[in-house]
Amino acid sequence: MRFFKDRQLGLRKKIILWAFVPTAIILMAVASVNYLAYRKVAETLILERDEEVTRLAAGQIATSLNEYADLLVAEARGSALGNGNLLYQQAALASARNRLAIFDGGIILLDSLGKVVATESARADILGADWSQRPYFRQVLRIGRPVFSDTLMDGVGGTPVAAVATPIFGDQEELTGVLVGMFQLGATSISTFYGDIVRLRFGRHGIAYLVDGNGQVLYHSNGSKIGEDFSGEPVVQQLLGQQILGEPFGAEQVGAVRTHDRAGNEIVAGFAQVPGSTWGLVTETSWETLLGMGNMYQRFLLALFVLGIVTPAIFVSFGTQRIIQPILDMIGAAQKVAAGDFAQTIVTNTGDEVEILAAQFNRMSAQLRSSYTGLENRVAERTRVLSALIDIAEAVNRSLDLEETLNHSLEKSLQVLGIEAGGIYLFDAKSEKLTLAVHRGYPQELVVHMDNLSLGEGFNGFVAEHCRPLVVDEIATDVRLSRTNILQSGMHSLVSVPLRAKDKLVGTLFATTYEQRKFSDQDINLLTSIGYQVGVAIENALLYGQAQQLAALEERSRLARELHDSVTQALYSQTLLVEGWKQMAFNGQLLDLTEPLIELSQVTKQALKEMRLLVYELRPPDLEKDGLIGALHKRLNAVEKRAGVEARLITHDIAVDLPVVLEENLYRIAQEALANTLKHADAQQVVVQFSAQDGQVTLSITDDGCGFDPALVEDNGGMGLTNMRERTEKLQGHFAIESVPGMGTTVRVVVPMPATHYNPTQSFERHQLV
Amino acid sequence: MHLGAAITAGLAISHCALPDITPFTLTGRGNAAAPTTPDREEIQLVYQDWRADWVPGMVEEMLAQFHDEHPNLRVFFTPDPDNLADAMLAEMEAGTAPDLFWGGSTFFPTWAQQGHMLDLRPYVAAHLDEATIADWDPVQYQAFFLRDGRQFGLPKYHGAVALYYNKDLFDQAGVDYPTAAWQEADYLGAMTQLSRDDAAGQREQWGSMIDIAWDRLQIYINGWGGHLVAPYDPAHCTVDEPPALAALAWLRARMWDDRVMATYPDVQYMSPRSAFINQRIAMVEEGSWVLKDILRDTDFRIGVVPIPAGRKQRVTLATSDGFGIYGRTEYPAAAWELLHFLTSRDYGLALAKADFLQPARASLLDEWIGFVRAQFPEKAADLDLSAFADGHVKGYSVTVEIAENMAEVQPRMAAAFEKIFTLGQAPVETLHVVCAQINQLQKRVDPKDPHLAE
Repeated sequence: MRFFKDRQLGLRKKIILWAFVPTAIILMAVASVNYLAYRKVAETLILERDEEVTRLAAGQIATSLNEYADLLVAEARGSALGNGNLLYQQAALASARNRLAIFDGGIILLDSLGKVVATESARADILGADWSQRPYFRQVLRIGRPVFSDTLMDGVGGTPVAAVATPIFGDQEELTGVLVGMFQLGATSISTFYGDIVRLRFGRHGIAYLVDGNGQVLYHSNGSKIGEDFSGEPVVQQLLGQQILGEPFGAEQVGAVRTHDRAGNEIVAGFAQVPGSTWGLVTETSWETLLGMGNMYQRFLLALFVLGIVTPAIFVSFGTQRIIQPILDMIGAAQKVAAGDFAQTIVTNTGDEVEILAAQFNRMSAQLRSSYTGLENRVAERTRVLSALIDIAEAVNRSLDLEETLNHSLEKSLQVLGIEAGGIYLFDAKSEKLTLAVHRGYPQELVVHMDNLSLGEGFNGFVAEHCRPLVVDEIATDVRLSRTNILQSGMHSLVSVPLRAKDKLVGTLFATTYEQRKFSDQDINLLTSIGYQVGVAIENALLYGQAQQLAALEERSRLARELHDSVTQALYSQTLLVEGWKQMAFNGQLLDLTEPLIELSQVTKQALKEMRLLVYELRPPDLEKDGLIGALHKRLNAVEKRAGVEARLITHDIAVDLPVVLEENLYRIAQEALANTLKHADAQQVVVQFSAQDGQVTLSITDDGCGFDPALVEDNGGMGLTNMRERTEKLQGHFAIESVPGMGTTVRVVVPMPATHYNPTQSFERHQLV
Repeated sequence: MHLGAAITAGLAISHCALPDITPFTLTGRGNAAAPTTPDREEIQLVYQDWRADWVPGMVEEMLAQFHDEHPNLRVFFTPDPDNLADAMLAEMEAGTAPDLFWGGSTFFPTWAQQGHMLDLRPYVAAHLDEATIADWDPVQYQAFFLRDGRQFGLPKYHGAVALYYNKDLFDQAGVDYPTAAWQEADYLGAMTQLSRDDAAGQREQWGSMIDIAWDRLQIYINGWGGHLVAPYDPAHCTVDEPPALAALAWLRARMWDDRVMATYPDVQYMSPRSAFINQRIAMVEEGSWVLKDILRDTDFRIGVVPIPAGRKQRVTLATSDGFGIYGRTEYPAAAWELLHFLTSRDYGLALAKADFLQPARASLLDEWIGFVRAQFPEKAADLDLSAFADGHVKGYSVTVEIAENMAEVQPRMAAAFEKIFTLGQAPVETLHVVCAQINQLQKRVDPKDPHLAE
């Protein structure tokens, strides 16, 4: 039942099952009942047929026997056999030889007392013999008409024969003798008696045999059984049971039974008396053979059953296919529609509900297709807008340079709108003028006429004044047209939007077409959105420019201070020294110039060091390009080496890339420390060590300079120590200064390495002497 | 009620359940290559042949030989019934005919035409070589084929008609013995001379006599250039055409005009053979199959010569008696084995020895002549037995002409012949009417034929 309950079972299978299974069951029941009825009817018919056939066959045998008897009767009446004269009788018998040739067992003439008086062929051994006790003789005497004997041993040499005896009457109808014709019996006989039985062909489907009144086999379809005693056979007993011993059957005895033969096989045995004799005919047919004859009907029935199954199956299957196919088509189409293929339509001509359903489906599909197309258009439009905005955003964010930003913005805007010509005006609030900052697609002689608009002048002046978009379908006819020169360019339509940043007008963005174009709301919205972005970008660019100018000013101030604090002081010191020495020389106090020159040289070298440091700081290293190590290396080369300080860079485990922020802070710390060494330590050597081990980055700068007391310096934050400490703390690291006056100084910074950059499996060391 | 009909009725009761076995017949049904044989040890067959006192003994002896060679076959012999041609038709219709039997030249084809005979072609093709077939007279062998090609028999013996004559009577009349060169006129002259009246003026001896039968009259008709039926169309009666009518008119004149040939009434309905044996006629046109009777039953000297030539040609009749198989036999293959045996050299010799039947196989002629002369050394000493083989050797033998529907044609023709020849009650021109009726019967003639009105 699970099968029937299976909801996944296809509609087609369900229809077939529910339509076909009952039909098959009914057919099977009808076929079974029909077959059983056939078997019953067939058995009845077979028994009746066998009975009838056996009866008719027995009657035919009787007919043949009667013909034999008639032959003898004719001879007895038409010849001298009844003459009573022995010689005449014997001559008559001899002349009848040819006519009575069928009696292959011979012809015997008995006189009225049963004595053998003549034989044909000659049988001297029995001439004169008394055969009055022969049953057939006595029977002939009693009934006065031909009779047929049981098996007798009266043939030549005592061989078995069957006799036909007929009375011979004289002129006065008195019995003058008995004429006996005999047939040879036995397995080797070719007797006509047998021939006449065989030609009746009643044993064609089995066996047939003829028994005499004693159950002795006279004839059998298997000749070897002739002469056997069959009196014990049930059928023979049934046959003989109706017989009065030695007499012909009284009432006609005939029947057919289903029984078993000697071998135990099931048979149908038909039996019938041979009328006018003591003989009985039995036919036996194998029950299996008889049923086998009905195999054709069984096969026919089976074929009918199969046809009864197959035909509805084919029709139901075909019909279901026809019904279901449009539904399957519809399912397939629905699946495709669900997958986004809205072009699906179903064509059916069933003329039923399915066709109506298909039409509704097609309508629904068409509506979906229409909706989807609209949605797609909208999405495409939206995508176009977003894409344009992204492009614009990318363009304006690419640079803080105002001109570059404006160019990118204009180019993308025109590209998005599909327009060849346009431009951006920048608004100067002070002068309330619009200056054409960038443009595309206009000849230079026209651009001259487009520039420097007043607020409210022309289309862009109008937009700037009212701070809202403007669309002009026909430029030539619009009253806001201020400068008619542009008509010579052939421009036809225009769209313009304000550029704003923080509610402040910064300019206008416009585009013109040489063909008439109806700008859509989407175009205007897109351009307005672009306008906001561009406005912000312009604002940023302007601010960035201002910031850059401010930074430059600060840097110049710092450099001025540095120059004042270092080189200027050195030069001033040199000036003072030189003035002092000049005064001393005037005074004759300076006889030896060696010491002053040495001192001057030292001051000059120090100034030169600081000058190099300043010059180097004007050109800061590119950490992103060179990395921390590279930058330190460059620094040591450019400054310390040239300043005559032996500088060494030692690195450990630097295979990892450190974050730029970390590298920049570490570099600044190193730079500060090296500057202190250069300015204050008077060192001959400086060693910079850098390692990245055990999740920590360690930077140390050690010199062999004059050293100092850290406690004195840290209190006032001099020497940039505060700056270095703050940078270290910002990196959540540890800052330390180790210095003793006269013993050099070591600045050590230890900061944790970010987890994503820590690889404990890597470890190596590199020493680099700069 | 015949058993066959009874069985048919019985089977009809359960027709759908009990399919009958399809017999092998000349109608072409069945399959000769796969005969049906019930699964049992012994096959029983019935063989029917002449009702003659010499037959059972010979058959028993020969069948013993056959049974030795075929232990699974059992053959029972039965003699011909009375009124063979009609009785057999009834038996065959009823399905109770013997499995194998002989057929005479005039009625055997009728049985075949009615579809009662087994078509032997598959068996002949499978079992007979060319040498065996060539040993038979081609004319005789071909007589066992229907026009559609079906073969219904094989030769039993080779009977040929020749002219027996009574030398004593010839000598008494001072007439020269017949010769192989005799023409129609010679025959007439001798018959005239040999015809004799008694003292009362009643004719007591005739020159000759023939059997008024389809095939015997055919000899005259063919000799005069005519036919009983058209060779090109056996449905067309030609016995009323001029050559045939002339031949029959000549014959009738011998019987009823100059009375040199005896009619049946003249000899008290004795057969020509008996009339010859009883010296009521000096000559008789008879076949070799009566040779033994004549040799045995005559006490005068006899001679035999070929049949006198007709006005156009010399013709003699080669009998087409043969053996055939019943179409509804249950065991066609077994029946063929028996037929093969009955047409064998051994059986041919047995027939030749038992009753002097001229062997169908030419290769047995010497043995046949030997049998005759051994049994009748004096009578047969100067008997020219080659006269019977003359037609075979010289190629003027014919076999009986078969109309398309012999069963219908022959009785009509026999009745006409009886009126014309036996009773002398009608002229030969009567045959115009008979022919028209026959042609109409066979739908070969215009119904407006004026002879039909008669």
